[in-house]
Amino acid sequence: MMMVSCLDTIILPDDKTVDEDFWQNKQQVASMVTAAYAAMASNDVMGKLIVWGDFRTDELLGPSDNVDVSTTTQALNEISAVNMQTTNQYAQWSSLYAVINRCNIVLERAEAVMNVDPNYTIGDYQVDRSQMLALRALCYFYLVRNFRDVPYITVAYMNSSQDMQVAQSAPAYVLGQCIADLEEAAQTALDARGYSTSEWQRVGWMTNDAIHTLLADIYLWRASVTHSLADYQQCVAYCDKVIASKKTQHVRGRNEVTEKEYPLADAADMYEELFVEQNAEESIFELQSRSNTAVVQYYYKYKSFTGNSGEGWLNATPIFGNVASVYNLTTSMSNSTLYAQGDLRYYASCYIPSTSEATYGVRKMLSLSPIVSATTTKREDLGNGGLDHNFNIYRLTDVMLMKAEALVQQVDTLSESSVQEELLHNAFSLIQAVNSRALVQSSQGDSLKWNGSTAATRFRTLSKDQFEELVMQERLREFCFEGRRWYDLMRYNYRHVEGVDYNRTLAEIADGGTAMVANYPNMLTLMTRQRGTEASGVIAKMANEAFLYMPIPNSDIVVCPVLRQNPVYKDSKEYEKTY
Amino acid sequence: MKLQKVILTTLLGLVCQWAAAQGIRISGTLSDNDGPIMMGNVVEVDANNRIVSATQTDFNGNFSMQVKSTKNKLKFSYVGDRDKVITIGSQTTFKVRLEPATQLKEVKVIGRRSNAGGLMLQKKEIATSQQTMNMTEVEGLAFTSADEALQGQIAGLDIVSNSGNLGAGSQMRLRGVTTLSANANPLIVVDDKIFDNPDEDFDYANADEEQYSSLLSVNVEDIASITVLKDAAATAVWGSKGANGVIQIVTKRGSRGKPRINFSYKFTGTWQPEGYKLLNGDDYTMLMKEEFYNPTQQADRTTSMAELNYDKEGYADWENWNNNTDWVDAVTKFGAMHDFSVNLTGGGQKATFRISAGYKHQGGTIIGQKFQQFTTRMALDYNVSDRIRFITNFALTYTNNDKNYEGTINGVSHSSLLGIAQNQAPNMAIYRQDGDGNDTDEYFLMNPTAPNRNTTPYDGFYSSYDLSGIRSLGNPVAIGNLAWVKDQTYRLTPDFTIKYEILGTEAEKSRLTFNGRVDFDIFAESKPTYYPAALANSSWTGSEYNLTTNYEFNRMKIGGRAELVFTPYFKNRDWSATMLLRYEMSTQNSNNQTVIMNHLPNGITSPTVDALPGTPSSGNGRSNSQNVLYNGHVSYLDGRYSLGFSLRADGDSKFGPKEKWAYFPGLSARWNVIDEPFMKWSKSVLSMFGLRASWGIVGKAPDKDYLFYNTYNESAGSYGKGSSNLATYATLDGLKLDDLRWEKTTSYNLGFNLGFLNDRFEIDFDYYHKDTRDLLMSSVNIPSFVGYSSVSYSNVGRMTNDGWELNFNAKKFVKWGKFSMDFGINIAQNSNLLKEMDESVLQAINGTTWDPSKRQTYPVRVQLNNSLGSIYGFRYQGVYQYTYDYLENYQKENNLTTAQYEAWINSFLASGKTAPVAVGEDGNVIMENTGKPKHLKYAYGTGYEYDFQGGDAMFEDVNHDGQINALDVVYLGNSLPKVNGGFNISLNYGRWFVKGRFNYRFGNKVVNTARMALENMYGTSNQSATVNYRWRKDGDVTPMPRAMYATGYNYINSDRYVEDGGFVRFQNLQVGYRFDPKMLKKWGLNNLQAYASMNNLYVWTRYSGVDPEVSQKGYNPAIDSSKTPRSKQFTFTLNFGF
Repeated sequence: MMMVSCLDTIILPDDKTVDEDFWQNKQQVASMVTAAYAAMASNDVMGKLIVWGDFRTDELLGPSDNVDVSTTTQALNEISAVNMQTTNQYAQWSSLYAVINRCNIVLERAEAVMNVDPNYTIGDYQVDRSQMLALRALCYFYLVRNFRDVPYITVAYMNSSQDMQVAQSAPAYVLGQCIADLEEAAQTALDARGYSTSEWQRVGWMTNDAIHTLLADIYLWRASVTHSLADYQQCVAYCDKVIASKKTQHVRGRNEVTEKEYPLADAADMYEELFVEQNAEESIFELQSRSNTAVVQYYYKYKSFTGNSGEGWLNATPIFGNVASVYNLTTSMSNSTLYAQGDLRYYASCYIPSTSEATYGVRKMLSLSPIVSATTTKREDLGNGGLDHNFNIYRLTDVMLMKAEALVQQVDTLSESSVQEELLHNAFSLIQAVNSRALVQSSQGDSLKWNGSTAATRFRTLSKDQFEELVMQERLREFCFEGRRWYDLMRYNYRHVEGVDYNRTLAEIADGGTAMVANYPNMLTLMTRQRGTEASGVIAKMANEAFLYMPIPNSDIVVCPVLRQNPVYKDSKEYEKTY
Repeated sequence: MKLQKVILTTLLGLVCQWAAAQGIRISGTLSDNDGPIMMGNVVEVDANNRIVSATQTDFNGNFSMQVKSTKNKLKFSYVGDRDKVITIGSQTTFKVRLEPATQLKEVKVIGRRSNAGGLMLQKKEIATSQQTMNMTEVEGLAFTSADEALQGQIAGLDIVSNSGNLGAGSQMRLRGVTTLSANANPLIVVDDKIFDNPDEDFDYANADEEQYSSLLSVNVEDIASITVLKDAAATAVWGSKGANGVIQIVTKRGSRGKPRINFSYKFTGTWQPEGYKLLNGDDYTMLMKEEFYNPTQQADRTTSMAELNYDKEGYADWENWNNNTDWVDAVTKFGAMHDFSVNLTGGGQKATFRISAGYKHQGGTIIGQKFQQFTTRMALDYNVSDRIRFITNFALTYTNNDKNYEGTINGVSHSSLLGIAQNQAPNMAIYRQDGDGNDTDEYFLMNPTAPNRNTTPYDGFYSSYDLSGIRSLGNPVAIGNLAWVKDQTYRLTPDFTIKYEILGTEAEKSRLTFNGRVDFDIFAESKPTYYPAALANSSWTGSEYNLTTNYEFNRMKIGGRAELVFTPYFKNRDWSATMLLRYEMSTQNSNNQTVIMNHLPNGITSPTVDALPGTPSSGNGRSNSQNVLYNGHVSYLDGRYSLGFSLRADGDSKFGPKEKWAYFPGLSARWNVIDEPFMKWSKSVLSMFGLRASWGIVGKAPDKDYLFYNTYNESAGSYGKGSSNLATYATLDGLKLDDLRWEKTTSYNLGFNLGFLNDRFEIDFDYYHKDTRDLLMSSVNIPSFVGYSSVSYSNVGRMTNDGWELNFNAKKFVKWGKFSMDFGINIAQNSNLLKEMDESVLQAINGTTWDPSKRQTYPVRVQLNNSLGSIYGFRYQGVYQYTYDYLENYQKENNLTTAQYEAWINSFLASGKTAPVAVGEDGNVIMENTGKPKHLKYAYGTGYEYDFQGGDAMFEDVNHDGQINALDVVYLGNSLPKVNGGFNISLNYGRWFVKGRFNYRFGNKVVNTARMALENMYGTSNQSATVNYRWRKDGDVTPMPRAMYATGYNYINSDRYVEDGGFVRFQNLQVGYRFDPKMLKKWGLNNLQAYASMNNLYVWTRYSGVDPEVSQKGYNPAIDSSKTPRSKQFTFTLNFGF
């Protein structure tokens, strides 16, 4: 009996590695770093980025009648009716926090690997740390823009006994932490120049370019909320770094017939590079995908490829239904005509049916072949093959238009008109660069003109506010359906309202008895311009700042009572009773 | 390595004895009264009765042999004579005369000793709560597995069959439920060996599929008796595994005597009980037209739905849609079962054996179901000597269960055939009909659903857009005949035991017995499925086009045991004691894999063909456990006072270092008051009066392995673009459960045993209290910002179970000439209370209590100081007779002022008429300041707001706030029975007997979602015939709301579907005849019996569904979702032996 009392009652799984045997070498760290990116590129995250970033705007309409009733369609209808339950499936942050936890695990455990594996050098570690800090900041930036008050987690959760009662932090604090982390990450960042343009890693990892872009984006956002000139200047500074870096990486003549000031592909190559071949030279950070069911389900067939549903959950609004002959000053924001005739982006973004219908299908990210000419064709049938389209987070035109937006906002109407004009002119030339390269024949001269031949095309006469609109409009043309529009609208809103308290959470503001800051009516009009008769109802419901945000997930509030619900959403507790 | 260890352990105690060879030759003659004996036996045996050498006499009775030692004895024997034993000593020639054996009368042995935790105890010394059922009581009845035989027989054991599908098994609950999510079925022990469910990862709380029923591996014919251990003191010897109680099965063994062969044949016929009466085709199309019209009020709503229009001219498929098909009848059938078994028993002084084999062939009551079972069992006992004994068992079971294609297969969920049959449109044809309406041999399958409402069957080969619901159901007859699941299992359970008496072998000496055992449990399951393209619902690119899957599961379990039983001999005969020390270990590993293939060529069903592969999956599990048990028993004055005590230590690889070992103590005491001198007066009446008390702790471990580690999946996937240069990644599977503890149940039991008139009447009574702490729950939600939204297990609370059980038996209590009567009844009551629960867990379960969008789901609520399985919902009050507009129009027509209007409405309501207006607490209507009555609303302020109308279901507005929402949800009852049990009566007349067995449950509620689905008038499925009484126009008084396609809230969770689940089931009625042994001898038989019986004869119940026997899982209510009900059966049995 003595012989066997030492029987082995410790069994380790043979298909898994336990923690005690993990974190032993460089490859294992690398695989955990990659895991964080993989989580970010999950279909759940991409679906949320689409719904959060585009569905709430004038770009997309919800499920049509023919789509059968499911929890997804009900959740989408709740959002468009501004009638969100706290159990709505899009009021969920778990998929982004899953990324954050993976980042935190690497940040906590990778350092010790240097002691075990001599191959894992301080340089390797710093690059890994930089990426994880940056990816985590990106997640928090999305969370702050969609939930406002979120718990700021920097510890790695690995055990069930860890403290899981974490309260929310005010957005100013979270963004401040993100900026600090990113500035640290920028010091030891992965250099995009280490990869050739044919390697996906160049835009798959958080490189120095990606980190600088994210910094510019956060500064631009914070500047819009707090109306801070210094933040606008920071934004411009980081944009300049990225633009300079992209210029040095540019391979001349690769994708352009005429050399341009900025390393952007010609119109003929643009769509193919960005959305067919993907990981384009001008791209900065993309979520890599080899089977993108999120895009398929939202934009093409909600039952994915196996089902026979005729369309995706979401469709483009009629603002994509018309095309103007040329771009001119009358193309104002309330006008539904978004694109001019020669703009290839019009033909590449949506599927234009021959008959007039109220909704249009999305084509962007769904095409397997390039779109090179300004002709409307039917969206091709993708067949049974699945779709491998990446989700683009940042690319060079984004940086250029961020810079333009920041430059416009630096215009102080009290200062010298020449100073003002220089800022606007600089901004204009960035917008024009983005716009003109998308034209099928840029030399034809139907692009935007600083000094146009007619008053209608003479853009130098536009005011600061009109320039602000122009930037937004160009961003819409460039980035429609890519999960950006809602944040553009929110920045627009924030810039035109006063009294936003970014240092307190919404619940704290409500406790303090202060009224929530009312939303900017022009933004609401713009946001609902394609909603027809529903628009006024939506505008009335979106009364204040709190409505811009998603409810805090109810499932988390019930297990973490220190979380506070966004005060404009009914807590399910209100329905609760003791039976 | 492992195996060697086991064998070493077992054989370690074996000390081989070497006898010194001092060969001398002896000789002699053997004779008896009849003269010299030919072929007589002469055997040399040693001091332990072990045979050393042997020889036989020649035809003159002479023998000679070489003996090993003069210290040994010679044993002479011959059939019909008494044995003679002579010590050899210095003698070398023997003249022996044997005496004839005296004929003895048949002797009945009464001294009953039974196994209690490895100790053999007298029945009257057993202090724990346990009950034994002898299988002779149910001889002749047909059971697929032993649980059916137990149903209603054991006080406190509540058995509910899972479904009427073949081999579906049952849910067993002993003394309530002490766990939230883990397996709550009692532990099955066969011949002292744990017989667990091979598939440990089975999700008991949530699975919709039926698990493999472990009891199927034991042929009922081989079972001698079943003992149910109920209290913790009795189950503590099984440690962490015995938390739900233990069912100990003892199989039959051989006995000395000449070989006997017994045959048994049973024929059983089974059929489905009558279900709901459904609409016929004509009523159905009428309902559909009304249902589509009501919400929209568009006259042309159904004109393009050709399937409903009986359009002979315009619609090509007309003949296929003008029928009155009884789908339920089409999928049910009469099932026949043949059950053959044969066994051979016999043995001599040295060895006894029993070999049995059984074959069962059972046809289901639903088309496509078939069950076959082959079992064989061999039991062999061999006595080497008085000291050494070998015991071995070998059992093999093979089952082949052809099931219907139902449950979740390859991610797609399929309803049961009966469920489909109930829902399918009755005007549709089973077989495609030709232009004259004659059936062809092709199954009728609907055309693809139209892409939208504007496309209709008149536009081409489409089915109406709105009929996609019935299209996706499919043709149940086609599915039953063309798609299949073939579940095959093999189970092999051999074991080998050696017993060695280390000390004395005589009664007047202390005994110390060593038992060593090795056992194996080998299980293999193979479950191929096939779904042909002919049934595929979507296009040929769909994932169900000629789909085949194959699931393979293998498990190997090896156990070893070393045990020392010590029974000291006391000079003072008043004392007796026995105790054991046991060390046991087991190791097991299992693996499984699933292969999926799509788009196979037509006619090929094997997943090994290279087609379009689906995502395969595989898994494996390993665990080791060991335990040490000490169990002792002391009694004084021949069991007048008895004391039992046990301590078990369990170590399990499922736990991390902190919680690896757990200790389970048990204590029990019994005082047989009847044996006290002062009770002498009562002896004439009272034959037993004993008081019992026991206390013990049992525990429970989570079902999953490796919870105490952070595990990384190093091949989680790869990230990047293209096909090369990808980055592989690893993921952390989840949080390490570093604070998980054992679930522990402390319980005590108080009881008494009473026996009257020499135990002709027996009463057992037990009261128990069970207190379960650190309740384990699976998938417990945690804040998702930690990166995971749940942990797989957590200790969340505390629960108690209190109850009592009464068991009464009367043997031959009526005796009148040749007539006699036996009666037995048992009653059990259990109340389950949730005492404590983590606030966040309560919140997580209850937080999403009521969702206005979910019509058919009942909110799951767990509430402190309530029992599990409570049902919550609205109170249903009938149907609004009048619409809101009726009131408004009345005002307009009669020009009533607001005051007059209000008064009129109040009198209208007082007269018993109803309309959807808000009513205050005083019973008067609530008027709004616009002068209109307040319109009653559903879920005001949510996206599901709805104004009630005439003909809509009326729910009680409990708080009189003018709207129906969560605040009107009330407690509607509980799914756990208040009382359950069974009774049996047997009548004997001479050689005839009649037995009746009944079981019952009372005081439980069942949610009848089957009826809900058949009365909702919300979709396109067929409905119960009761909907013909639906509301159609103002003023109709009916309990059945109007038909509303995909609109309204007529069938939300209310007490309309909560029904009393109480019943008394007449389980079996059996008539038998025992043939006269004298007559049998003439025929050369020694045994002949014939029986006829009926199973599931009748159910007395108020439940409106097919079968009120519905089980409840975890904290969910009991929901009857039209599973195959238990069939009715009759059986003829013939047993004979020679």
